[in-house]
Amino acid sequence: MLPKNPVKMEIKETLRTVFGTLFRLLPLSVEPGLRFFGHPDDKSPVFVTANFDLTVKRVTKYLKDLDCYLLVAPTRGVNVWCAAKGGNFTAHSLISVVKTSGLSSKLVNRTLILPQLAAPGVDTELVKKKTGWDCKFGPVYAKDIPEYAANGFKKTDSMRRVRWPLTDRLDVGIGIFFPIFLAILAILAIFSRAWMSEIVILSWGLLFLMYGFYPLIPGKAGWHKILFLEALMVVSLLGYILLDGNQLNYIRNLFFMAMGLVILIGIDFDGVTPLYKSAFDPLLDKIGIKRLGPVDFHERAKIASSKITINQNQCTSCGICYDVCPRGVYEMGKDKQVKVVIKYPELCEVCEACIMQCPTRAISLKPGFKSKQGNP
Amino acid sequence: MASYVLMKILESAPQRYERGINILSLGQSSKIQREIVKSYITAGDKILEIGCGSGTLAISCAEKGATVVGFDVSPEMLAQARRKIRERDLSGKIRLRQMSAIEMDNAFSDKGFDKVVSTLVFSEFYADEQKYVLREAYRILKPGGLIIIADEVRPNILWKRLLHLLIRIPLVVITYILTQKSTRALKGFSRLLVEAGFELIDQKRSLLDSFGLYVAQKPSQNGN
Repeated sequence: MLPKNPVKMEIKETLRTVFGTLFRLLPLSVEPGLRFFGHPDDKSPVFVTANFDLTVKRVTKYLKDLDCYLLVAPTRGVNVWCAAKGGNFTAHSLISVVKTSGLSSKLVNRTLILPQLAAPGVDTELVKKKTGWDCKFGPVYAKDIPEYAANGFKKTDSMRRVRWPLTDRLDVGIGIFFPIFLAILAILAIFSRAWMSEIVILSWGLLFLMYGFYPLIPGKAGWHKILFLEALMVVSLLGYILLDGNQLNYIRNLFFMAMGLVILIGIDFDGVTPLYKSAFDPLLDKIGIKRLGPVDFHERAKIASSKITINQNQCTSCGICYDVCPRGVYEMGKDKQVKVVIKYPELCEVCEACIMQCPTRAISLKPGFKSKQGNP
Repeated sequence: MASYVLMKILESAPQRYERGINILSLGQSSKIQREIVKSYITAGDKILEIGCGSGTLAISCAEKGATVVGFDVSPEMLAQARRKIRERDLSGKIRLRQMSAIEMDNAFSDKGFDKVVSTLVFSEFYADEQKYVLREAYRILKPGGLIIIADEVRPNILWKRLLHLLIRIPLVVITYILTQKSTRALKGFSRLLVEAGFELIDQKRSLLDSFGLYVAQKPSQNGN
């Protein structure tokens, strides 16, 4: 590594963070390969992550006080879960980085600790076969890694679950909405500058309200919440019209703008959360857009409406499905007949992590009923 | 999930690939392939092509009398290549394999090839991957064998670099939309070749300094 000006580096990294946050939908890659934290020796743990800039920065924040290795896998600059589901974080990413990083020669303990959300994409048997390394799944969130390491690399149930706290909501909300916001600004700049300031204030106000108060908005899933908000605004507008005749046009236009913005901000209000499957594919499928280029919405909608099912005869009680499920759908069985139970099927978002990881292929998808909107 | 949908919409289709690549290289890609065949390929050569894509270079080499083993990670690309090879009746001269460059250590024996060629592939590799592939290329080449690589390079002079950047940014966007490939121009590549044990015998740059051809040789004496 060439010595670089630290101030310049810091400015560059800050700009990358800002860019990555605002344009969350675009990949932003960093160099894959092996990194070191503290003073790792030949028995230190090896953590793995995706080569998305923001991901690596966050993981670094929680690893920097440990003695460990971090293997940054090539995932085309896409975050762990999206890359695992989108075919960019696979066994091949791992085989490639294990082989080329020179990791193998350094260590005795050959276990890679993967982020749990990589489970839908990585065929761990193939990694073992091609590299000789075992894989295990660590916590979903990097911030749990210090505790996980202190616990002797044992996960608690809460480390297995995806969460949707305020910071994540705002972070994701801004990332999803910012490109849409830019498009709105561009359209306004051409057609109607008069409404610019109102739109800007409304956009960001609604964005922070909707994502900030997400859990408090009535409705069990995202698009229910959007419907509720729209209904609320229609009722308020009607109320306003009935009660007050003054300034009607201006206020009424504000209401219409807000109603449009709520839909744009809440576009795929399910899919952006880690809690629900996207309502996007079933919706597109339903309105007749079966496919767009290589994306088969019909097929994706079919998978989204499917249900997981277990063949108890094939199950070996290994517990990997329980370990990788980000929603706590499974419960380990108490006797030999029922080895593992799908206890909370309504929580399943069909991420297919359990299906990918089951060593005996005991878990599969069966086609669901013609579900109403693809929501649990 | 929304990002996944967006990415997949942009995803590559092999028939668009060639076009996308030619746009990115401002037409240099096919020109440099012709030059490679003209200047460096001779009849009877045994050639390995790393990342043969839809087979254009492999076919040109075979038409000059060489036998080619080509591999690519994309099955769609290889299907395209197979079709073209059948049409030209070159199936006896070209053998294709679907594999990634990272599998080279188990796929080919030592010192089996006269030449290794690769165009617009190394810029898709990350740094460690480039080193690994060069090590493997060195291993499978016969002593005295050549490695011939053409790719985007970073211009040496600042104003050319800035001009290149200006032209490149829109091209990168177009290429990304057409092929979903993101590449990075090679930097200090001749040093990498030397580190892998090769002797650099020729290096050319064209078009604003931004497209480079590297020819390097595995030493014939201590070729182990």
